[in-house]
Amino acid sequence: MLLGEYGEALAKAMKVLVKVGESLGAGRLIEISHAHVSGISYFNVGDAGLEFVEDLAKLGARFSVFTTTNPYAALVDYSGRSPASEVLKKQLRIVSALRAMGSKSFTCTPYYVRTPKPGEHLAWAESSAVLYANSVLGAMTNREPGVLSLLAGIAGRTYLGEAHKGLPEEVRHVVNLEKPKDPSEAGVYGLLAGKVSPTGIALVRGIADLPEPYIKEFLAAYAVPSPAHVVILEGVTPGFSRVNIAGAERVYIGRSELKEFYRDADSCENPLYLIGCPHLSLKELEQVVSKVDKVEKGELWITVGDLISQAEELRRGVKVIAGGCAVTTRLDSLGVDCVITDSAKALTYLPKLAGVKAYLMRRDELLRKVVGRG
Amino acid sequence: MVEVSITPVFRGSVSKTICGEVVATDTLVSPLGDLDPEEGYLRGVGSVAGKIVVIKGFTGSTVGPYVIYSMVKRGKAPKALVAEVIDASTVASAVLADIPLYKVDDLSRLLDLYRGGARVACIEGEFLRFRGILIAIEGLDGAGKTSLAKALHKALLNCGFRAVYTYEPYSNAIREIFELGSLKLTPEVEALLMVADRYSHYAGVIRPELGTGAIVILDRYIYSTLAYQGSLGVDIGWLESLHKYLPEPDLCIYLDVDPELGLKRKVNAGSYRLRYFENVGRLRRAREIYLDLVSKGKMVLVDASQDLPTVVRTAFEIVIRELGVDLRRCYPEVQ
Repeated sequence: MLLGEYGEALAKAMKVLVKVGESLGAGRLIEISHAHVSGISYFNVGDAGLEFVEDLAKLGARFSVFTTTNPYAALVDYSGRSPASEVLKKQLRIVSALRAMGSKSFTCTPYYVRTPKPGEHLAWAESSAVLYANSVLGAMTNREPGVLSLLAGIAGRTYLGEAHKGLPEEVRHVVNLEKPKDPSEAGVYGLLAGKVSPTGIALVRGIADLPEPYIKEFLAAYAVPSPAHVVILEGVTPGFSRVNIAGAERVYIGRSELKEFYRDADSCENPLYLIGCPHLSLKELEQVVSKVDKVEKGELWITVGDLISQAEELRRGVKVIAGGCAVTTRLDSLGVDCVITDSAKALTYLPKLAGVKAYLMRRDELLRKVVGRG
Repeated sequence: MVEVSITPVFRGSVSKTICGEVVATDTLVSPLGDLDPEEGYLRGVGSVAGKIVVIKGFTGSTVGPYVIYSMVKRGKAPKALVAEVIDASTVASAVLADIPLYKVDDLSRLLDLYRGGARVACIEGEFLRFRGILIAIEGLDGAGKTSLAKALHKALLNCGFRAVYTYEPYSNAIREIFELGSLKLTPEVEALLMVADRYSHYAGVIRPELGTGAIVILDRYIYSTLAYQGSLGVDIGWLESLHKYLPEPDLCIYLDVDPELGLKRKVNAGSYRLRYFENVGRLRRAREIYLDLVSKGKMVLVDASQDLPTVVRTAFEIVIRELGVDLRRCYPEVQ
């Protein structure tokens, strides 16, 4: 086997991390307390990814620190149509291999499973979670590529990238936001704000008083256009007040820029409604489900982490998909034509990754449509 | 000098100099859609297995390392990767798969050289240095050397390689001396004239073409003198020593044919010129010397009694196998 015996695999994991660090100007490895691995959906990693994780698992590779993994493809029945069983089998093999290695949970919101403390060193992939860890929790993680987070979980270490040295001393852009009225609007602000500083780190104002789901949607969308590992949120990010903003360029993003994102949803005749990108917390799930007494039109999918139990029993035709991700599933192969979602991140990725048209709708309006009152 | 500066990012565990065919593209490669790990194919480029692969970079970092890993497991991986844009995921791919990775700053210059037909290079220190390749075709008259050489030349040009066909004897003056028979030549004088001609050929054509990164196809080279003058009893060790300052070919294909069949082909074609070589007994001795060189690993034998398409296909497969010069994309008959 290419990876050699398990000891060699561990050594190889270390070597990869060291070399990547060297090439990025960070020669030293540091110990981490939590790894979060991306690249789990069969649609994203294909046979090559399946082969790699199975090879690792067969070697006996095990995560040496607390490790969570991204959600898998949401291969549930849709309108009576089953996904190709071959794909489903392969997805389940990926999940089995990761479970065997010790994955604690399949979710894109690992901070609901284990909330890192400020200053903790992590090795997280999944951009939305990386920004949440660095910008909300004050933890420190590189924006790891999938394979490095996997190897970091095995090695219990990662390379000492910029993210592990704390917040930058100054920023070049300050973005002021008008107040969003729902999580979806916060997401649109994220898409816009993420473009402001294409290579640098920005400070964002207007976030501090928002409910947690708004901040989560904002950050998930922010990471779509921005390669940054952190965005400094005034009033939220631990240590934000020490960052120098003198001389930074000021940018304002207001409600007038939202409009163009909310249109044409009526052209989606048999919609799949999607909430839960990123995954909802249990509290959010309860709030959303309490507003749905029956599904009148189309289907409603709510995606949450796999540790949210009794999810399947939820009533009234709501499909609560625990551990799944609709965005990284070829929904076209399930017979889905178009999706209406409240997530600005999903809006961007659904056409590319899921092969379907996507439309944005505010969460309350979406739920009213679902129950036939919209 | 036909070279481009590169910076090592990961050297891998290979100890010897990396040489091989270069394939290059100025696009970003998306591993999930663009790379086929089963076949070792890169969309729009062709086979990358065993080659020095030059790309702008990878996009879609998630799956790249897994696809490269999968290629290595199937023996289809590149010999080295050269990219302009290198992210953490690309480094991880290279280290996991133990493929040397280099960064190139002036990708457009490299691509200009590539598009000009320079296709074979070695990684020497901090340079990707293109170099020429010398392929010699040997055999008795009527074996099919010229037909093969021209077919190979055409196929290489079709594939986008810079390729040159040339033959010996090189200078008309030498040709005339042999053909007119106006001088009484001893075998040793013949040999010296042939070798002198060859040094002129090397200086005038072969060396300059190799310097541009071309593949030079030689219709006869050093081993012809060893076989033909050797068959007249000239000491082969002495003949070899006369070639001390000429490079041996990177690949020499020997088309083996019975002398009588070869002569028959020549007569039928009405193209027989060097009447002087007609002596079948002498040709048999030349064949023995050729076969001895084959047994010493100097040449690769192809049975030239077969029909020409079979001979060409067999020879092309040898070129692919021995030199890593990929003719498959423009000569589909070859496996």
